[in-house]
Amino acid sequence: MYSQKARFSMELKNVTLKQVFDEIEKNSEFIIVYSDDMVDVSKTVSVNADDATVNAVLDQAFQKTNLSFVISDRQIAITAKPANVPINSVQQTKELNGIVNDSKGEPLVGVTIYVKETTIGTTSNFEGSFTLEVPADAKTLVFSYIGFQTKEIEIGTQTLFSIILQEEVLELEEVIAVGYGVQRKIDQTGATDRLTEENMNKSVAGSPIEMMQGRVSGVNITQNNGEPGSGMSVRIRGSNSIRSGQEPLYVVDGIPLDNADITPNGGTAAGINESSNKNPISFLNPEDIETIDILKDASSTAIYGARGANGVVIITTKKGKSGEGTINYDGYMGVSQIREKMDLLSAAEFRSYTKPNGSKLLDLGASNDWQDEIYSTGITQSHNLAYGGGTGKFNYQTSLGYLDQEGIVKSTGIQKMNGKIKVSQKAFNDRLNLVGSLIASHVEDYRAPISETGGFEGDLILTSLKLNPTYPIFNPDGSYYQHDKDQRNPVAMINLVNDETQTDRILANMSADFEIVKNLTYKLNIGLDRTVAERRVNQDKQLNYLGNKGEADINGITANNRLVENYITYLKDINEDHRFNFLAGHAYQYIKVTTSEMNVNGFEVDDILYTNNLQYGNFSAADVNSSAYKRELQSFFGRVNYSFQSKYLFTATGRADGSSKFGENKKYGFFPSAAFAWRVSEESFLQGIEKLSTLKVRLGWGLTGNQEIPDKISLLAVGTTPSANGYFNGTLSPGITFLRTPNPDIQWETTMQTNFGIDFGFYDNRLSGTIDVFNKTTRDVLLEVPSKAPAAAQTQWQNVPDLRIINNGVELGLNGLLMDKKDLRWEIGGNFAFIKNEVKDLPVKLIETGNASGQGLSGTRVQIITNGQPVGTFYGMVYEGLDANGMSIYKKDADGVEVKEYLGSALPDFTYSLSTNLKYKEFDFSMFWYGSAGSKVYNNTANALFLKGPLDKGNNVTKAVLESKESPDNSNAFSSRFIEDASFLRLSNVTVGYTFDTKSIDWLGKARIYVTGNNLLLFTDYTGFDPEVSTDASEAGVPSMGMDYTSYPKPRTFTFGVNLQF
Amino acid sequence: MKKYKFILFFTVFGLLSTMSCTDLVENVLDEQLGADLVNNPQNIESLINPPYGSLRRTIEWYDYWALQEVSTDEVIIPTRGTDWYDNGDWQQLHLQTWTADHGRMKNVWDALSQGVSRANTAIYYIGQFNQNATTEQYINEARFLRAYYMYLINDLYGQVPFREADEVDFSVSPVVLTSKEAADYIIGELTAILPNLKTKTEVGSERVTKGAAQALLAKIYLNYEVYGGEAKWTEAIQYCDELINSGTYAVANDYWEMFQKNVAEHSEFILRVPMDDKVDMGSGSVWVNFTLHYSQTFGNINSLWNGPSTTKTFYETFDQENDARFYDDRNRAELGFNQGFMVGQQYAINGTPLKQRNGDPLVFVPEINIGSSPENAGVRVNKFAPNANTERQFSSPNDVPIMRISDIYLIRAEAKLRKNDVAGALADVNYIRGKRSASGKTLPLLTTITLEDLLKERGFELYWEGLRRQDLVRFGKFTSAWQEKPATDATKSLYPLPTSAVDVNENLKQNPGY
Repeated sequence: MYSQKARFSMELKNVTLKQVFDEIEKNSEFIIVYSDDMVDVSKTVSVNADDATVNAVLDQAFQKTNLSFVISDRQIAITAKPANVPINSVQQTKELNGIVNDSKGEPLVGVTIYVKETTIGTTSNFEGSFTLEVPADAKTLVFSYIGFQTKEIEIGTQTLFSIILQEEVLELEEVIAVGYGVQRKIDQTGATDRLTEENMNKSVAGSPIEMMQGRVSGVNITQNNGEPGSGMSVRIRGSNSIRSGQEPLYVVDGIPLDNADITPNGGTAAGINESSNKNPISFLNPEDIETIDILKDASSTAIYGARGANGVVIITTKKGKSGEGTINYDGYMGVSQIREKMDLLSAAEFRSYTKPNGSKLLDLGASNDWQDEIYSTGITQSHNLAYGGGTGKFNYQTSLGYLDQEGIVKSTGIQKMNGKIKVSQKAFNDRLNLVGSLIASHVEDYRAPISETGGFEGDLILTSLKLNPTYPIFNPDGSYYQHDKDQRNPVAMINLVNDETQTDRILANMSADFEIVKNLTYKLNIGLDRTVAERRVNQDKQLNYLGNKGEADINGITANNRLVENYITYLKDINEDHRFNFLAGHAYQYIKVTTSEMNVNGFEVDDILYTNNLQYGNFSAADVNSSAYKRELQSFFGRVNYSFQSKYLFTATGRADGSSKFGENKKYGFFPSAAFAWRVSEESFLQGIEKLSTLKVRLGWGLTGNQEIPDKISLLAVGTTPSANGYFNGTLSPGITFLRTPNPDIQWETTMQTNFGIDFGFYDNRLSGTIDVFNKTTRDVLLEVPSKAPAAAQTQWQNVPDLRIINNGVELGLNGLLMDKKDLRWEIGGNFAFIKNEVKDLPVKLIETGNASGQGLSGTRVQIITNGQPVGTFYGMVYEGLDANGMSIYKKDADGVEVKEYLGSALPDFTYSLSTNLKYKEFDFSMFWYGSAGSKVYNNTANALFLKGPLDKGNNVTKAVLESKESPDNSNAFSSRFIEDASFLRLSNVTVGYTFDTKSIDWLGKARIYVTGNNLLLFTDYTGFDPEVSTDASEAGVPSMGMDYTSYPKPRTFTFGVNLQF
Repeated sequence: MKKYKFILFFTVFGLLSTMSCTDLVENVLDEQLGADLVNNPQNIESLINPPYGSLRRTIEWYDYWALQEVSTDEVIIPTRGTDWYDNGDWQQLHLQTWTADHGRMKNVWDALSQGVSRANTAIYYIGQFNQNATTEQYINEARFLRAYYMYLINDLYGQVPFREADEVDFSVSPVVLTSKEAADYIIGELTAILPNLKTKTEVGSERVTKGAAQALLAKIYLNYEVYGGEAKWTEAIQYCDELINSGTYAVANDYWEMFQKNVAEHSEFILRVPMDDKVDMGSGSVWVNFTLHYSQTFGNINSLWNGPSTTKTFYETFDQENDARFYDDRNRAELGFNQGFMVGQQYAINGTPLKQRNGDPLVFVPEINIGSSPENAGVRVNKFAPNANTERQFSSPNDVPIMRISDIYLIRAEAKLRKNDVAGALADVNYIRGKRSASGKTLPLLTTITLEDLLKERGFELYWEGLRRQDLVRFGKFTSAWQEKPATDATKSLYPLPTSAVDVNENLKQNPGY
């Protein structure tokens, strides 16, 4: 029993009862409930306890009072002793009896029951029943219980009562993180969403970002591909920029992270370019996360000023709770497989093809399915152990996590080890609160030669798709059969390339709250985020496509991010009606990132990894490179919250942000915001409407910035570059030239956002929801525009004042508790978002991006940014089918010239998700679907590979190509033929769990087992692996979207797991 | 007690605040920002290098070279099934259906403008130093290079934006010179610096010399009718005479000698771009990779693209039998293929016949179709011998002449012919032809000569050297029909200004027809 475990030591003389109660609550998990009418808490008492139980403490405290108490688990109900009802009363009395249950019919223990406006009362016993002697003229009985709505009943002539108390919907008391503090959700004025363990995507989620996917309306998350730990593109309320740097700001336990890419470059070879970036916050252990708050509108994010334009994601890790320590173990085992292979020709079908000249394709006699050779079943295991507890003064939480995830492409995977310690200590009569946390992670990434873009020679995935299935894997002598440098052996590529990245990251944080005087608190927050990553890539000399006797790459990145914040908060209430909360502070952040690269080739050894000893290679001709940058940010910020009668809520924030990246004339930017919310349901004129439980209207406006502009662009650069070097008399000498035209006026991009929102709840909030309508307009858009030639450099960075990028959207979130019975609870939720994006007043005709990869597609850019169209618009010829000769026909204008048209955008019109949770007795079931509609995807893979021409040359193709009437001579010109509808609906997750009854096992607090299936079903017309894809095909720093070129397919995973609490 | 607490508290606060104060000055760690660099006379070599470096861009096959060759009868890059469509760029270039958004328009404009700007930078900063013989030489070299890039811009685009070297406010739109103004300005510059330039004997043809200025003047006067609307044949002849009579240059007895790998200086060269496949030059021409078939690997060179060929029309103008310039076999043992025109069955180094990817024999045939050609279509051309043992298969081992003396003889012949001095023209053309007989054969000398013959002779001598478009324009043939290319509008003689340039400089007016 908890009441026996919790121990107290206190020495209190002549304090009020209230102070005793507070002390108990502070140092334990007890909650003390009482009615002010019955209990006079200002009475002074004394308590002297040393390692005493709560019973002993309360007995002491109540010695000279008429009070008694009932303990039920962690709840203590205080009542006036019935014995103290004046016995000599001449009044007539009557006895009332009854039982109090919750809505599921479970008895409620310790409910306070009293006659209104008297001290006559009692509490319900363990069966939930009560007996109370009341004056004959007593009119009203009051039932009150923590977590439940207080109920008043007219007594009348009734003497037997059966009362059902309704649970208070917890959402009302929810708090949310707002940046530099928390706020009750009911006081919130902006558009934010909170994810807790309840509604995050779990299981085989290697990263917190995956846990957000599809869960929040207006947040569009695309996993770049299916590689374990692969990068994510997160867009909160649309694309605000036409450059990279559109990721939201991540704040982990109060430390704003730097979004710098910390994936070191890998090895390259002809046709294999850089592999994709890794997810920036995958270092966090999903099990360590308590909450994720997503700040969407400007009134919420403006407190982060120049970093708020892309939205803010605040991640809070778990902290220890007072009480005896609990141990949690969570573990799972998962099995991943490719969801669907490409429908390629089998060796027999491949042999069946006859060329127009009657000849057959080259047939070397083997029958291989190359996709089978590179894909396999990936096994994932995860173990997580967490331990936490505390005394109230000192709380602690520690965890240790281990994840070993195999990818579905052989030799790929990720291993992750996490450790976390978070402690808090109170001192100086609780006026000082110190919190320290340390999160350390070690991640090992194992990768295969798979690249984002690449030439026709091909990376591993491309090779597995195009290679002639009649080629053997091995030569008779056991060596790999390698037909040609552009017809590679995928098995050799897997086995002869070793690509390992080790990343160590530490996030350390120390904060101190000090209450200087009552209601005035000073807080100091110091943080350090340090990453060291090293990638080693070995490409064995047996790979015939290398041509340089093997290659070794050792590339490293170190990133340092230091933070010091000082701020004060002040609370001020002026009578009951006016409540103020002031915040003012200063923040300083320092970021330094360095990289180093080494590449050596020409190895003569066989038996060791080249990277282990570069001296075996042609080390004197090593290619080396390095870079470094540092950045400083200094900010002053403030916020005022004002609430009038808890009905009218006002928030105003302001932040002055300075960054070393900004031009010398524009060092500081000011970012204000204002918001107003009206809790309409608190108004008296709505009190009578029982069905309506919550109604709040919110209105917000703010300016935020995007400071993710490139470094150094405000400064002139003069230096050397290979193309400027001189070569005379056989000697190379450096050439000094202008490399960059300075722009001392360069500054952040500014986004202005207005938001109108309604929060509503009906039937005691069993049906609740949120609607937000927003307009987000970005100005001062940063563009690298052509210089007025002849000029120092060919381009110059400018903030284009007139150019606007506009996102208009509507978001809707709905939640319904459809059934809430004793054995059955059924919840259903949904999110919907429409966002319309448009570019206006672009000073140039168009900006091209989306570089197509593959043979015959050089110089082909499929996407443009132009006036009146959304970002991510595809642009090209319109395909009208094949003519009688099997050649493509394109739409032509009156002059017979092929016309180019807009072919739709990679941005979806509409995204949605549906989730449901069902609990029946010990079983739980949940299901999560999400989808998007109206977006397009460019099937670059099909454009490069799946045509008659490549088949005629001896490449493998899909079955549809074999059957098509296309001529082998038809060109693979880019056109609408390869733009496909990317709309999809995915059954992302189904979980079935069973919770054991552990009441009889005292060492086990909780035990649950579950089975989860991820990525089970995908409904789409897209012919590639997956329409939810984003290959990086940017051009001159302008990001592309919706490009699919030989992406690593997303797996389907089944997981079996267990959650235990001791 | 309380007092101490606050003193302590504010001390800590004060200490922590000091570590967080900043003036937000951006410190660049991995670049020399360089104001000191350009102002240091020690770095004079480094200041003159960049405008020279830009010459390498002018010989890059997909840059300037492509605009002077792919749009003519000398070079065709057909779409081969799913190869080489490349956004339609090469078809448009050859069929002359390009628009202002064509990718090459911007790239070449930027590359040449960068050359002008680098020359301006050199002139400006070297001009700030204490002047001596070296500063004077380098400023003159930079002035030549600026004039040269302006000449190239003018030849392609017909107008040239211009800034003086000391106009360093790049937010101001530069003035734009018309074609005639540009030509006159360049002539003025060249004549001004000519007396003070060094000679090839003194500094070699890798640097700007008096000869280079004379050759450029000869070329501008030869084309002056195109640029400035009036004929200046006499002036052209004058500068050719000066060059030929200087005795510094000599037409090679062995045509292929100057195209061998590792040849640096040569008697033919007036101005050359030094290249070396052992050094990263930032850019460098890929003379074999882009034309050879995938199977024609040799030495360390294994990345071949099977792209550009020549048209049947052009191929058939040759005296294949007697003209040494058609074909040369000296590197076959090392490379497996010949220099010059490649036609018919191709062989590996060991003599085995090569195959196409689909297993058919690799036989290059003159028949070619720009929209849809098989792998083996088109006669291939390779003028510069590659280095089989190169460590950088995309860097040229050959120094590339951008002006050579045979061209000067042909310029003089043309100017004379256009002045109706047929005898003089015949003498110069036959002087060249006399040197160009194939081994054991004799290339017949001409007895009469027409402008048509002269254009052909320029093709024989200078094919694939980046001069063809200028020649065809001057002869009025650029927009005529050949092979698959239909006759095009006369406005195609000038390329359109790239959209990106017109977008930012309001003084630029798009050329007619675009």
